[in-house]
Amino acid sequence: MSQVPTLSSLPSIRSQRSHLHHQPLKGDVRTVPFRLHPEPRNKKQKSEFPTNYVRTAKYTFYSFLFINLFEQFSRIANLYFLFIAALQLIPQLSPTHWITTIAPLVFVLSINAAKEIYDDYYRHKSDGEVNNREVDVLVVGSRPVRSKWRDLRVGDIVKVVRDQEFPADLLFLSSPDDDGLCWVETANLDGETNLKLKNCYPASKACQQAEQLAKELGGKRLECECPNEKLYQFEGAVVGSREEGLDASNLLLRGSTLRKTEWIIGAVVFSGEHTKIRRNQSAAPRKVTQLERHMNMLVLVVFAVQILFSAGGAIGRDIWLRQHNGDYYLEGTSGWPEFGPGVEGTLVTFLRFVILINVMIPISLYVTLEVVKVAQCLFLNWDLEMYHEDTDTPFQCRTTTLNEDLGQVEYVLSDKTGTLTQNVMGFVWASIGGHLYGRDSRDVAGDLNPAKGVKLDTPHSIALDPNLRTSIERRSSRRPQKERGGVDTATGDFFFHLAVCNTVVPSAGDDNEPVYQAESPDEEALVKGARYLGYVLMARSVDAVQLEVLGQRVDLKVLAVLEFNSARKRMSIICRLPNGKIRLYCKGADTVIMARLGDRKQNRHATCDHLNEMASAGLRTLVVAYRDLSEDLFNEWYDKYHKASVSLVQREAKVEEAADAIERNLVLLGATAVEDKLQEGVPETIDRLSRAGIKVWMLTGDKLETAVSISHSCSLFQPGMKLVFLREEDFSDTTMAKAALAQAREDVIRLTVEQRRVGLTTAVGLVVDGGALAVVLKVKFQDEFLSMCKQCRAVVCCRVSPLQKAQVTNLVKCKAGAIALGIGDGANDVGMIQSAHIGVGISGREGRAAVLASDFSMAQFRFLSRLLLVHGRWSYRRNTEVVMYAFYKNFAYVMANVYLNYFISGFSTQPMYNAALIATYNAFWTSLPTIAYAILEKDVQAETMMATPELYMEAMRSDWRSFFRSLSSWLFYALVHSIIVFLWPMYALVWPEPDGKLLGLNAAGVAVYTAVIITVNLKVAVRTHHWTALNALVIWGISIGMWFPFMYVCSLLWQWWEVLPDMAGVAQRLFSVPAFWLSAVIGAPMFSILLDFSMMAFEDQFRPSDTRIFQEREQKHGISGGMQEATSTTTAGLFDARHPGDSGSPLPRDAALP
Amino acid sequence: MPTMGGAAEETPPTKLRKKPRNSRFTQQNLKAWRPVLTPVKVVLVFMAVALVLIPVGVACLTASISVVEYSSRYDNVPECTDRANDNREREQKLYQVGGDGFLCNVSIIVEEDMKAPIFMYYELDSFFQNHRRYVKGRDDEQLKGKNRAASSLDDCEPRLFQNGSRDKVINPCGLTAWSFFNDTFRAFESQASNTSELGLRQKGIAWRSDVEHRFGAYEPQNFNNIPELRGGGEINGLVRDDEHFVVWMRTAPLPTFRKLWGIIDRDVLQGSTFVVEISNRYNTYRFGGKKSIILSTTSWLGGKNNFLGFAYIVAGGLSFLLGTLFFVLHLSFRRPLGSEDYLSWRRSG
Repeated sequence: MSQVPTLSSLPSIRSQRSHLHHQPLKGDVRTVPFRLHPEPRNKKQKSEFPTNYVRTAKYTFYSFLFINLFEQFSRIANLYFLFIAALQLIPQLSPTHWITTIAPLVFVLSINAAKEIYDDYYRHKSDGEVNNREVDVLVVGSRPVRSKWRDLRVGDIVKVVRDQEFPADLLFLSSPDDDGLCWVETANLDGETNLKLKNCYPASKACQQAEQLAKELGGKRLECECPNEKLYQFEGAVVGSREEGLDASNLLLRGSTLRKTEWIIGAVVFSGEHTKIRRNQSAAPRKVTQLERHMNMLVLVVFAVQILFSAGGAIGRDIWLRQHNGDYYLEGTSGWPEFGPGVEGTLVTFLRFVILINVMIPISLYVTLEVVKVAQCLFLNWDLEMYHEDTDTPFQCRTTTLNEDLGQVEYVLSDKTGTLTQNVMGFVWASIGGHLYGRDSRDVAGDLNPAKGVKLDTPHSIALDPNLRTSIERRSSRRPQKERGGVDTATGDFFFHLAVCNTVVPSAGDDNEPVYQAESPDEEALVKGARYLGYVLMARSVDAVQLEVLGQRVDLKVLAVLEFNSARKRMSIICRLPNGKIRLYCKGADTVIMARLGDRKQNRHATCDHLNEMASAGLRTLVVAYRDLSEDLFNEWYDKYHKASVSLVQREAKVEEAADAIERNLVLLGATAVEDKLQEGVPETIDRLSRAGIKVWMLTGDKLETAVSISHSCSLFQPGMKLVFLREEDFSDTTMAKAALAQAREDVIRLTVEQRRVGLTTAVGLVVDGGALAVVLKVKFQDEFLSMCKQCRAVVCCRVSPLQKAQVTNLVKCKAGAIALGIGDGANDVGMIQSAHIGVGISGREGRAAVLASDFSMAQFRFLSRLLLVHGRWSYRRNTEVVMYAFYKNFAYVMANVYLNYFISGFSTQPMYNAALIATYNAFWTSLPTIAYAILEKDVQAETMMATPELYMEAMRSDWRSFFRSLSSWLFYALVHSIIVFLWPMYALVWPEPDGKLLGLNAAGVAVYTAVIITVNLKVAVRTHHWTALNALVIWGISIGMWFPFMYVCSLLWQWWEVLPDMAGVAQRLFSVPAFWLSAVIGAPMFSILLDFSMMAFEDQFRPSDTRIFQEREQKHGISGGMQEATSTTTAGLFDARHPGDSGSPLPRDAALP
Repeated sequence: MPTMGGAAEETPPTKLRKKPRNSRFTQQNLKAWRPVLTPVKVVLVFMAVALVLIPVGVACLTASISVVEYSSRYDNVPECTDRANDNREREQKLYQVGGDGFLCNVSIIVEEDMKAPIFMYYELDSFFQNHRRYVKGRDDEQLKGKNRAASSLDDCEPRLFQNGSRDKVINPCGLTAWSFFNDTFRAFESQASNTSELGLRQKGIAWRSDVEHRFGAYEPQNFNNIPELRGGGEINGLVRDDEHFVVWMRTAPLPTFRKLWGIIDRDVLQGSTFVVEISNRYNTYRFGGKKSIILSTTSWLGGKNNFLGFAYIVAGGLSFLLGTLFFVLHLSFRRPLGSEDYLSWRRSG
């Protein structure tokens, strides 16, 4: 393979380092022998290292039962039912058969287990595939041996070919490349899609066969640190007669793929579970929704109610027995199991009551919710409105437990780059030698022929500026580059600099046009812009850069690369120019570079002005400068630098110190401005979210001016909005901070009042910069800061670190008592995404780290409004309904037992229903309709919710108080319904039937049960607003419809087998009795639901909810534009009317700068 | 390790492989009926419900009123208790007498024509047939005629072994059978001076399925023979053939219950008198339970039972009232359908 001689900057310096001594490793050291000689593979011999077998599956065939059951029973409700079932197994204790709890419990557990098996099956399959992949292992004296990945051992020498994944963490020994390099893609590891370059262990660079390696490595061993999770760090050494240091650039990590390199040979260093990728895969924190927290509380409350009823029953029995000592026909109340009056009997009766009414806690609730949420997630994944066609990315639910929280989000914490903005950078303006180019280029470029390969709609509109182009052309024609051996005119220097000073790696594309691989999109934009203007970066290798300047080839020798990092905020490249001079090219953040300029302050003021103008236009700026170095100066410095770069202790700090020494006395060339294009639909989305009462906070690493300008352009800050700033300089010490915070808070209140006076509500925005944020996040300021934030319509935090993003998220989450959603696309958002209640990852250009950490992932920020306003709101309403309904139906059902025993059967814990009925209630007759409801119900249509985001507020504002208020209404109806369905059939059926015969207790129980089933199903029916055929089928066809045949069949069984004696003949009898149909089937359910219906009707008419009003509007207007128009006027009074197209102009308006 | 994602392709995918299916179901767009109840519809529903419930109630009530039912308590009638003064004395005398107990007559004057069939019931009061211990005190398989080992008859305790001797398993065992009601009745019609015995049919009084499938055709063993300790009496013949026993074994839901004892397949007209000859044996005196004799006809709905009719009329009436109230309120507080003025963010702002 003819490799493009290119090299990324990352390892360039280190590659030149070899044969150096290094300090011995500190701490625990792993010693790895190189296993080149065939040795008997004794399987029984226990190795000190794990095998290379990797298991991501949760269960094995044998462990499944134990682990799964353990997990399921760590859920308190399941444990509770297990406890009840255990009680029932005690002979003579339980009033009901043990099957009544075991059967539903097994049903519930097996649904969950089935889901787990399904999930794990795919993991097993992929595990099997991965572990059985094959790779060549080199052994002295024979051909390479094919070996499965799982059989690899530490120290094995393997040969990996192009486009294969590395089977373990390998020490890179050799490749066909002369320099001993190879390319790897780490997308699976850290999500970065650009290729990275790795260096081999220099001594074995030329070895291609086992024999050569044996010669080179013979007698040597590898010593390195113990396994850890740090992806970018590795310390080790090959130890033979001397020690040769190794670092992360010599290590090929499992999970990454070999690219563009024919093959590599490597030695296994970490295998299996020790590999860095496995060390990095930790379980994501389990998130619990607010509804679930309320639900767990509710379980406790209901449990308490149940205990009360049981205790009351136990005491009641004692009293009853004392009064009924003449009931000789109930003889035998002397000892276990039937005690007479007294303590033992009371305790036993208490337990019996607990068993009898245990289903007051709905056994099927958790599993129903699980099923429902999975189904809702499918609908999320299927939603075409959240599918991004350009990238073929559908919405993805990565967590199936958080749906209803989406309906209660109060804070959206958003990253900026890649989330609100496209992360497509356009090189738009440049300030060169005191001139600002590119500002008007789009307007005037139309009549010019752009250069070859430049499109008019290029994001790099700088290339369209006619002034700039003539300037370049004129100068180049006047002074031929070649003669002068370089360029030193301002414009030429400027673009020459941009083409050289970067870490962009060109590779040959079609038509000989270079294709750029860049780590930073800003750099890519600058290089592309320069290319369009005739300064083309052609090739880059370890020690050379090849340019084509206005058609002429220029070669530069690279002497050193001083990398960019967020602390340095700058990068430099030191080159030897064709004329032999050494020059340092440096570019970086304005503050950093400006402070490093030498005495020649030409154009400094003009450039500063331009920088301000750029920043306020929402553009990202970089300052470009250079320095000429003399041979002596360079050599002296390079010695120091080299030493620093090969040091094993505090290497980073030393390198930084060295770099700092040379990046001084710079000469200013100019500044670049890169436009960060907004994502599609961002202003509209943010508008919608704020109409829904959701507060959007932007957390960005950008500087203050950029952040503010983007906030304006993306509608976070509205026209006419006042801003309050918290700046780092005001927070340098505690007393100052206190004063500044108080002042800011006063400002916020004052401005809010002022804004109200002119008719704007909460139209105050807060801008906090990273330094100030660090202070206000301290415990003593947190509350004050947060209460101030709550008053602001929007908060922007700029210059924040990833850690601060997570801290802000935690603050909102824990202190504000509200649901916070974090949304971001980059690895720096992972902390925020994981600590927020809901983490949303944008699958964008910055790799998949955010997506992998997220609960939901999608392609575009604009889908957020549909996710929250439509799906979130639906999910919240549906799932709340599922929870409420579960408690309602079980309460309504179980109370008959209480009435029977409290008022009729002498507290004897006689069950109202027989075993067959108890065991099937939750699973068969009452679960499907609520599941169908939770999957299909739409109280209002999606279009309505998108047009009227205000509807979101109803659900958002509900907290535990409204939860319990609504619950008490549900339980009130449960109580009323239970009385009706108990009394009506009981008293209608204790009289003689037309043939003079009478029904018994069994039949009455079945009749009451029938009434309960019909009532609770009708309850779902009256609450359903969206009747699909499926709803009708499960309510009428299955739950109610199948009950009658079921009852009939059960009644026949006794004829043939000795099962269900209590059902024998009951249905046949009941069916022939008119009073049964009139009471249990029609009367009681109809009367129960009449009460529900009338309450709903009165409320809907005379105290309508917002939802109800929009249901009426849908009915009246249809879901048409007419309604959207009508609703959009509803908020006109709230905020200043926005002018269409205004969002394009990002200048801050009336910023109240303190 | 599961591989996530694929190679980074720079070119936009030509085939949209991951595009979700566009169907009514996946897009949550299934055809649906979305009822929204406007005030007029609400009133109509209320009135329609009233219109259905009230006539049904009236029909039920009419049926119930058409039933002729006479009842007479006899446990405290002096002739039936040898003129004892209180329950303790009555109980003592009952045990002293043994055998057929006290014979006595109770007369009921027929004031309305009673069409055949006329059902005769006995009614017990304060008798907890619905008590858990009582309900479970049986073994259904044993009753079906299956051979059951004593070890599987725990539920029958304490009436599992006769006199506690382990080789004498009671069959049918348990409290329910043990306390079998054993008063017997004969009915006479007395017109003017003419008295004739009415045939009391005692077959076909139990559920047919009970007689055919639930109870076995077998001789009872070791059954009740200790009058002092029992409320109950013996089973006549095979278990399934004693329909009084079968009826007794259908335990009643309420502590006051009646059980069918016999059927008179003849009209009894106004002016005649029922004379019921009772042999009073069953001990309810210990717990103060009342015993009554009831004669009743039935309608299409069954016996005399005003509850169902009233319940329907109350429910229907309530629906009517609510509908009216709704209508009046609607007229006084008209709210235009879908009016924005009532939106929460409009009201508060």
